[in-house]
Amino acid sequence: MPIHSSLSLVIDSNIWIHLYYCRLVDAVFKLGSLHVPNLMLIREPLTELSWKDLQDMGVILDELPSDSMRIVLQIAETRRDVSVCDVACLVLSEQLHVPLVTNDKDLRKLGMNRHALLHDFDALLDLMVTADIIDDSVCAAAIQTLVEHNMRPH
Amino acid sequence: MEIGSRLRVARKQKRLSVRKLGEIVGVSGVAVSKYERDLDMPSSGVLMRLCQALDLSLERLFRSTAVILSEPAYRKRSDLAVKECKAIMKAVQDKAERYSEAEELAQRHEKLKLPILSVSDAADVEDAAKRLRSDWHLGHDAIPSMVALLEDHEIQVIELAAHDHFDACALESDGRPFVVVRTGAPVDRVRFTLAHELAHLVLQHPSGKVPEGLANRFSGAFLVPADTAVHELGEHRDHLSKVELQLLKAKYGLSMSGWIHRAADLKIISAAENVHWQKLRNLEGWRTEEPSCGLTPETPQRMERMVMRAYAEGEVTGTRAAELLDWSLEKVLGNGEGYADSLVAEPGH
Repeated sequence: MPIHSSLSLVIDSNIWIHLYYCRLVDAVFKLGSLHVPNLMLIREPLTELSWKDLQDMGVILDELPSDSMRIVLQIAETRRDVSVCDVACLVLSEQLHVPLVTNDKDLRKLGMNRHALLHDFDALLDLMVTADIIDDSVCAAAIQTLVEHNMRPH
Repeated sequence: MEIGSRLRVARKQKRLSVRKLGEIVGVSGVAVSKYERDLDMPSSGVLMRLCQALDLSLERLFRSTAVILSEPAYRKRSDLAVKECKAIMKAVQDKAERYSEAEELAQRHEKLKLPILSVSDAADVEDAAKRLRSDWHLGHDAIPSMVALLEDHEIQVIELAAHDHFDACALESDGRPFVVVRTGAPVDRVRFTLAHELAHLVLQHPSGKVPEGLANRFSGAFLVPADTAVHELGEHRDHLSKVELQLLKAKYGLSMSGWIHRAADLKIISAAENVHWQKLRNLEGWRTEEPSCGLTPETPQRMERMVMRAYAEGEVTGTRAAELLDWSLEKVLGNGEGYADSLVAEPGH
């Protein structure tokens, strides 16, 4: 169960993979409620970490209603650089009025154009440090892990 | 085409009524009908169930692409069923659309620059093969990879997991050729097929259509030019040995049968020796499968290069790159870690 329940975040697939590589999946749930659009179910984030696992840990899989899906469609038709699931994450964060955590440059650019609330992985680590969920050394080790796996954002 | 039209087309292909589809996905037939007429939009959950029921990808449903493929020219065994042909075409359409999108993202929609070589007989075909090799600076040596060569000349090569009765097919979209080859097909067969399809692209015959026999002759001549064949076999031979053919196959990626044809076409062996080898070929089952001779599998990589380049340059998100390549996101985020290693040939292929 979340200890710090003040935060709500929509977390993109790439961030879940980063969290998994940095062994911070359990820790991130202490931040608050974590959401993903149920459309993400079409593609598992990792072989070792399924949406079902994440759901069991507390991830909320949100349904996007018709109106939101119309927005997803409108954006997806004009933007070929982002996936439908990327757009669904953004639209869900707008729908819930909560930040979207993503490291994808194009999705962040799209989000900024739409004045969305955005965080990247580093900001997520900072949030966890501020909330005393992890300390600075874990944060530094996480960044090092991503570097080692060639997963640092561009 | 709107989402509704795409849903309707997919439903009709599955031969489902709106009511039946509604039952499967848990909505009313009226609701399905409204989705199909774009009077209503399904929620994300319903949409996923629709995609599942109709065997549609979410991406294909959301994005219309203008890839209209011509009728395929198959190289297949005669017992390839209509149903299997349809499944192949569906997979080809999907890959071709993703390929086209990748080219668009990478801004690599380039005009095809292929010469047109007029031929009327086998001698012309030999010259045409020689000329094309010269134009493409291939010298006299073996072509390391036919797939890479064609991709370098803007001919799109698609690899597809398909029934083993299917070898390859060639088709085009908007004047751009696609050659589709089966994953796991014998390397020598893939190379010959690609050279054969190349013949259909570059040769011009007075009849308007290059006869298959001449296309095959071009294929052999392109893989092993006449002077190279003479250099390797000699000007005249009474007999050929099986081991010799295996070694030549390993060196040039032309099948043992291809070498026998080549030797006969170039009058290096007599008609009687050719007949002897054709009989032996049937006896040893080489028509179905020849000894592999350790040839390196040839895998199309142009699309992967385009997409990963776009991803590295931040022109496409990781999830989008994963969709286009049908990779896991993990593989994309790790910049294809392990992918390059998987392309290294395993012994015995």
